[in-house]
Amino acid sequence: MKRTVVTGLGVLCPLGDGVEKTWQAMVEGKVGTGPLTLLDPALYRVKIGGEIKDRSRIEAFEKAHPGKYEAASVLSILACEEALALARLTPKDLGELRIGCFLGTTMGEVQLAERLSEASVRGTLEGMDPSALERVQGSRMAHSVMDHFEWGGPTMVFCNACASGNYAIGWGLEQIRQGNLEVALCGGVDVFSRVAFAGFNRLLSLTPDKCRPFSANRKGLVVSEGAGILLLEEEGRAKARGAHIYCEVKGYGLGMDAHHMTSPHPEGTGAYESMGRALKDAGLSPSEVGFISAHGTGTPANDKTESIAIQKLFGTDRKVPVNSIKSMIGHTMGAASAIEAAMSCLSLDKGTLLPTMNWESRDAECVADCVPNQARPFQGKVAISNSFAFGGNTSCLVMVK
Amino acid sequence: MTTLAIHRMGKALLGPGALSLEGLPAEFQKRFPEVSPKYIDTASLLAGIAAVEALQGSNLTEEERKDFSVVLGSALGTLESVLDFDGQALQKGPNAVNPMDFPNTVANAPGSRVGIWLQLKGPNVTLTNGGTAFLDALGFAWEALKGGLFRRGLVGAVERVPEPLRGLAQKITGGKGAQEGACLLLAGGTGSMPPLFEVLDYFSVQLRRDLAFPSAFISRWEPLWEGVEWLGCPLGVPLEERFPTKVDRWASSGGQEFGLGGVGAMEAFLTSSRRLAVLGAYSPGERKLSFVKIGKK
Repeated sequence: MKRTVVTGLGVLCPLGDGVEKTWQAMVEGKVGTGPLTLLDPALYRVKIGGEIKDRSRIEAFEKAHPGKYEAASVLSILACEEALALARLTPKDLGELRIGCFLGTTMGEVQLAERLSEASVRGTLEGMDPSALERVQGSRMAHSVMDHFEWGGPTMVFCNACASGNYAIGWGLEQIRQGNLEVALCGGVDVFSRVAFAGFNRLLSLTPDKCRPFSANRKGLVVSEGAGILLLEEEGRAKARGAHIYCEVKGYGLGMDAHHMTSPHPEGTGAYESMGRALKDAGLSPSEVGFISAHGTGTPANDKTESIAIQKLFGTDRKVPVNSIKSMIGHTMGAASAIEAAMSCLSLDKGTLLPTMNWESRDAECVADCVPNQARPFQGKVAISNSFAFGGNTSCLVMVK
Repeated sequence: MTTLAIHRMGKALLGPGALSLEGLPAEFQKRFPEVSPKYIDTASLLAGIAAVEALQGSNLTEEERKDFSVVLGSALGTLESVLDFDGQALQKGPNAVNPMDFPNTVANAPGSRVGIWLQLKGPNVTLTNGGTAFLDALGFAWEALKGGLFRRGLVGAVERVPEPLRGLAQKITGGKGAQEGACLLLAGGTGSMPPLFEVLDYFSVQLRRDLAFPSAFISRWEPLWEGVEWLGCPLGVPLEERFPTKVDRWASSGGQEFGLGGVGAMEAFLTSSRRLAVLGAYSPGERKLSFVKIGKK
């Protein structure tokens, strides 16, 4: 069984374009969500969101490749570009290797889907390029990455809603350790979607002001956008070329609540199962885990049931630090788990735990230590990154320093 | 060698002489009287109907349900619900849409609902993999079985083309249209039920821009064809020159841009006297080919 390490990272999110910018802003506890500009806020009950404000790279890419790729594909490509640069690899280097691309998404190329629905409402669909029916498919995102970098190899796109990014990273791990691939670009991507915003708005899942995970007065989540990519590499190859190794991806686990489409199981069964499966896959025990990057959406139901699952697995006596970076960047949907995995890699690499911002008061039903409001030094060697989704799909990754 | 046994097939294909959504099948209605097309998206209903058929006679125990997976592929996923929901929001305003319709828009709704309705608590996986979705779902299950993630489950694909986009689907398939419906296979250890066939290998690749085969994967290509006497794959796909010359060929007839590519070839193999075959599907927009090697005992 081959060991799999992370040698490159790529992130675009409301705190910035780039891993280091995002990391630094999070260490400082900055919050990137705010007044909505991509949609008309007057139309919605809630008027805040998380938008990628630094769009210079996106605009430059779109200018250089007009109309070639849809919006989610562009974010995917740009995040991969950064991951390659940090891994000190070029597209040409990888073109000769067994490389694959696995992405996760909630809404896929939803901005094209929204243009299709506008055309449908206006009765102008007949005039649209039929290739829109191909370009709107989620699979296009991974295809676009391979196409842009002129690679050939396997692709998969996981659409397990907000747990998708971890599915994709887990699959990359599986492919490398089975020896099928030498390098995998994996992660999650979602662009801002009026469908998702309207949907969560109507489900009353949104906070009107800020996301306060694990706080007693939490009011909901913030819909956001972003991309997170991990460049996974077979360990021997990474070491041979002297690459910087952020951490090892050691295990993953998937679970299923089988309870309800929008509500988590009240006992957090899927969350518990997927954390347990990920640790078993990694050959580790709960006592070895140093911190948990929570799904931590800031909704009353998620944070409570996630806490139940964590306390069931780790015990109530042990106060494992649990943070939620959604407090700073909102819920980036299918990108969330991948951005959280990327930040967890950096936490292990740099020895710093990121804070859960906006925390105001303890909820006795939630985890005891959510790293409230301030980053702190960290000596642990094992991290779990949780991600849960509509439909009760749950996914967890285990990363080791 | 890892083999994934396929024990039973459940189908809910739409079209002339096939299933109509005017009324849900009696077996499905009996099982789930509360499920109504009024609230549930068509892709979920199709997947549910196929799942009930695939599980007939399997009598899963509570213990078996704990690690019973669902692996569901699709090209368009729940695009129909996205267009409906967004269209309503555009016409009536976003505060007037029914919140109960929102869960229908997520692409994992069909797979998740199958898991919820049938209480299947193993890993639940949705792949939106274009025209290779069905074969990629089978391949995922086979590779996940090797890795220990998958033990048993329902594996297959669902496809639903939104009504307003049927014209585009006709154009893109040269007038043939897309095969719509669901096909789910009961896979993995399920007591004494004899297998219909076994999955023996899987290989999938997106070709380079110039349609060249990425040479680093040559070691995965050649074993795929060992002993194979039959190929079920659309005609005119790239790599034809690499297919072994001494295999008989069954060619599917269109609709390959969508998620049920490979189902027809699988059925043709099952009714033939052939023992070992490769099923192929192609996503032209993505230059992606997937192959699953299957065998009958």
